[in-house]
Order: sequence, then structure tokens, then C-alpha cells
Amino acid sequence: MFSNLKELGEYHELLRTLVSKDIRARYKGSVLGFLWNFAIPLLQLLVFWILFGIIVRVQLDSDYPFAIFLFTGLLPWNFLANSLMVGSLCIVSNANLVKKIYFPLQILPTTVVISQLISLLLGMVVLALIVLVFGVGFSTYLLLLPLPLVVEFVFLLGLTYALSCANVFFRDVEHIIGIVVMAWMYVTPILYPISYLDDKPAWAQAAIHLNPMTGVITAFQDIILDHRPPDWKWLGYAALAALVTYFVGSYIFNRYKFRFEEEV
Amino acid sequence: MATPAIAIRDVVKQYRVKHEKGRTLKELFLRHRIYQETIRALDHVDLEIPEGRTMGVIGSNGSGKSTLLKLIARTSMPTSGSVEVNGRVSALLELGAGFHPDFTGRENVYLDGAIMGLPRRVVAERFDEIVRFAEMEQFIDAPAKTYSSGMYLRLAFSVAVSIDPDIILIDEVFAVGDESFQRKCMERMDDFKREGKTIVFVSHSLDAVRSLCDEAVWLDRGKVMCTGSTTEVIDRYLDSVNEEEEKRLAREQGVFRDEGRWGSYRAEITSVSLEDGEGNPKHIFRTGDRLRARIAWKANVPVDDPVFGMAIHRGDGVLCFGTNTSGCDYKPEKLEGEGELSFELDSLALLPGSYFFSFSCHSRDDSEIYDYHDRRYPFRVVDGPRREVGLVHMEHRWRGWGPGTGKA
Repeated sequence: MFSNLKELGEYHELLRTLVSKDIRARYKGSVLGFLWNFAIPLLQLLVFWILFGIIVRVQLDSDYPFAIFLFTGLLPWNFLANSLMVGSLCIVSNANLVKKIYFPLQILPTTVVISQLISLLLGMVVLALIVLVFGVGFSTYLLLLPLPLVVEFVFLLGLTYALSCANVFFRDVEHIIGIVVMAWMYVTPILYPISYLDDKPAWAQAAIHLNPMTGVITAFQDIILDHRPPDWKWLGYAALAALVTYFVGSYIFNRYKFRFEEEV
Repeated sequence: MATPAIAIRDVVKQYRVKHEKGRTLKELFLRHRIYQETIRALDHVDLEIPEGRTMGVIGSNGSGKSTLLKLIARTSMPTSGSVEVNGRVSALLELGAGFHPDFTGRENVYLDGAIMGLPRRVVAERFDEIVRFAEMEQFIDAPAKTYSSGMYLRLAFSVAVSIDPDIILIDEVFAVGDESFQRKCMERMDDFKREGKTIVFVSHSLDAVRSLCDEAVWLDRGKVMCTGSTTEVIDRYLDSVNEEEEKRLAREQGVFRDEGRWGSYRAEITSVSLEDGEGNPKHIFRTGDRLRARIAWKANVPVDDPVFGMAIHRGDGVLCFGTNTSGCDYKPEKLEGEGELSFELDSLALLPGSYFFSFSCHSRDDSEIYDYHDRRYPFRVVDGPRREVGLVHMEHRWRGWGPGTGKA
């Protein structure tokens, strides 16, 4: 497994080139080009703003608007959703490379996750501006922000390894993934604050906390909006789950990668 | 002996062939009902290629040539056996696989280079050379989607050969380019050869294999039929191909189809057989061979003053020769009952290619066609002793005058 990391290291140049290709190709040919990376989160925020600030009027017992709360959780969630949806396709859609050219195949899913991570970081820039404008401000806890980022990144690497591999053998994966991601989002505290669970039955709380993404998303919300350290217990749990997922995902990928060439 | 560049030992490669390509969960649960077949693309192949050797791989479609290259390139793993490769491999199997149509030629050179395992620094050093070889100076900053397929190919090939590998695998990649590009590629291959690189070359062009390779291996249905010097292997391969074709042509001749045949059938051509000089049935000839076509006829009603005609068309429809009995010594006055005639060539003038005989029987004034067999009798002409090009062999001689030629 670590020899894979080594091989990835030897091919870091290819990885870098593919990531930069991915990012530059995404909005190539459009008028706004690279600016779309900022425009999309901004427009998303605008929609939430209109929906929850003006039409439905949801207000949390905090000083920032609900739209910002939603946006803070949704950015890292989109990182997950996009990584899984694009990632599950990455082996199948690069069939000609897989069949004809030798390179460590992990590069393909890794590229997807890294390029989505960069999208997330660009979205974070927008979030930072919004946080400033609405007077939420920053705290020193912001230094902890890399922690949930790294945990989520490792978690997604493991998941995309497993899913991209599974999709080679069962094309069902790419179809089911959208609906699974949607259902998953509802058991993650993105549309509601985690405190909303306080008066709910214990089993419901347990269910939501078993979801590794809960610790990650609440860490983002705690650090950015509430200026407090993340809940270490649940972030730790998420980190553990991420490591296990990474190793299991790598194992599955390495076990079956030799058959990709025949199946894609 | 030094370690070979490539050692393939007892390699078997099997593929599963399914009825449908994508597998779904339903199929997983109903697995026992799926019809699966395994195909042996390579069947206990042993092959050693010494360093610096140029090895041609020949064989008909589906003989396992490409699978062999994939195993050497490491994009595929053998089902059993081992593949040992000593040296850095560059596989020219898929040109421009990493190209992105929205990017400029310049960006694509770097991208494709990275996919082929070339460090950015090295691509930068060789960039000008790559562009010059591809003759793309003018268009290098235009998006690749605006390129013609030839430009695309030239640029991709140029990147591929700029790698400095020890072992080069080539799979028919430049068959798509134009003549001048193909020559350039062959030249480049010769350079590689001079530099002492090991080359494995898969091609259906036997001429290309002949001119590039020292040695060849002939694969048939996953098995190594023979290895050795290029000429020897190619000859044995051709012999087998000719033999197969002879069988096929013989079979086709036996099938009596109604397409390509018309007439009043008052008199019929009942069979046509092609023979060599000794009277043996044959469908493959060499330029200069004796050829005889025996035509059997049957008159359903007595027919007066008939004319037999013949024609030879090349496979692409060019009429090579045609004549009939009206102006020659053999003048049948009346057809009654059954009989035979023959059309004979002492020396077949046609150069290699595939051809068809037509035969007809009609009235002298051409007002009634009794029976017309249009291009129903295929035959093939293969390499004769002479090296000539064109349609037919012409009797000729060369003569010279002037100083130093023995004549003034």
C-alpha cells in the first residue's frame, strides 16, 4: 500500500499536470472561464439567500443568517458529492488511457479528488468574503481549518478508489450514487444545526453521529461561524473512519486494477 | 548470453467474453444464467527478444499480436506465466491518448508527455524539436480541436518518439498517416535501430516488417507458429495464408449463387474451373504461370452460331482484359447437348492482386445473351519472381549506350 504512495510520488508530475488540465478544462470555452469557480458558489449563496432569507425566513439563534450557515456546510458537502460523482466515472471514462498506456491507475481518482479540493478552496475564498461582509469575522481557531479538510480529503480518496473500481464491474454505481449522496446529505447536519438533535431520541442522534461526515461538517461550522474548536470526539471518529476507508479503498483498487483493462 | 530486453515465458492470457459488456447488479444476482466464454488470446507463448534487436510480429487479425504488446507495455497482466522487461518502455500504441481538444498544441505536448512519463523539464528542452518534427510550427498555439487528423497524429507521434526509451513498442500507429509522414516515421525507427534500441513492431504491412525488422515472430490464434529471420517467417506465413485462401476460393466457387448471373438460359454455362499447367484445380497463381479455365456448357435447346466471351476484372472493378470467340480459331457452329471448352493463358501477365473471371455465352449478333456469369470466379495473383508494379507484366528489355556501357 505504501509502495503505491511511492509510485504516486514518482508520477507526481503527471498528477500535477492532470489536475491542472482538469481545472483549466472545466470552464474552457466559457466567457467567464476561471471566474466560474467563484461565480458558482456565489450564485448558490444568492439562491439560499432569497429562499431562506426572504421567502421562507428561517432564522437560527445566532447572529448570522441561515443562508451563510447553509453555505458553510454545503461547500464541503459539494466537495464530497462532486468527487464521488465524477470519481466513480473516472476509470470508465478514461478507457483509452487505461487500455493503452501504463501509469499508476490511482492517479485517475486521485486527480478527481484533488481538483475538487481545489474547487472547495476557491469556494472558501468566496465564503471568507461573505463572512467578512456580514461581520461574522475570523478567530484564531481558523488555524484548525486544515484538520477537517485533511480528514475529508483522505476519506474521499478512499471512497473514490472503491467507487471508481466498483463502477468498472458494475455500471450501476454511477446511477445510484446521486440518490445515495442526496439521502446522505439529510443525515448530515447541513440543512439544520447539530443542536437541533438535542431533544431528539438517542437513536436518531446516534445514527447521525455514526456518519463520519457529521464530525467533518460540524467542524467547518464550528471553526468558521461559531469561532470555537471542533468537537474533538467526533472529528477524531471521522479521522479514524477516513483512514479505514482509505486503506480499504486502496486495497480494493489494487486488488482489481489489473482487470480494468479487460473490462472498460 | 546477456539478459534479454524482453523475456516472455509460458504466457497465457485469457479474456472473458460476455454477451453484454456492462455488468449490472441483476446479472450479479443471476450469475449462473450468464453465458460466459473465455478466449485464449495468448496460449503458452515463449519469446525472448535480445537487446538491440528489431522484432516484427505478424499474424492475421485476432492472433494475439496486440495482446502481446499490451503485456510488454504492462497495461495488461498475464493470466499465467511471466513477462520480464529490462529497460524503459515506450509504447506507441495509442497516439494522442492524453490529448484534450480544447487545449492548444503546446499545452497538449506537455500533457501527452506527462502521460507518457516524460518530465516537464525534458519536454521543455525538446519542445522545439518536437514541434519541428511534427511540422507544426504554425499551429502550435491553436486549440487541438481545430487540427486535421493528420496534424493531430503528427504531433502525437512526435511527442511519443521524443521519449528516450530502451524498448519501443509500435502497433501499426502510423498506418493512418500520409505517405511522407509514414516515411518519416520509418526513418525515425531506423534511427532508433542504429542507436541500438530494442523495437517490437506489429504490422499488417509485410513490406514494412521486411524493411525494418531483423527477426520476426508469427502468431496464429495465440500460438507462436515460428520465429526466425524476417524473410523466412514471412515466407512461411504467406504460404499458410495462400493455402487458407486457396481453400476459401475453392469453397466460394462451389457455391452457386444467382447474383451476377443472367440470360435466357437457352444455353447454360454449368461450371467453370481454374487449373494450373498440370490440370490441377487452383485459385492462386503467380505472374507468368500457365492458367487454364475449363468451361462446361449445356444447351437446353439447340443453339446456332454461339459466341463464348470472357473478361477479367481486378477486385476494384478495373476491367483488365476481355475477348470472345468470334474472331478466333475456335468457332462452335452449334451447341447441342453438353460439352466443354477451355480458355488458356500460356503466361499470366497480371501482376499481384485479386481478380475475377467472367464468362458468357451469347448469340453472334449479341442480340441474345444465353448465359452471363459476371465476375463469379475469383482468383488471386501473388508475388512472382519479378519485382514489378502496376496492372500487367509487359515483355520488355533494357538496353544502354554511351561510355562505360560497352557500346558507343
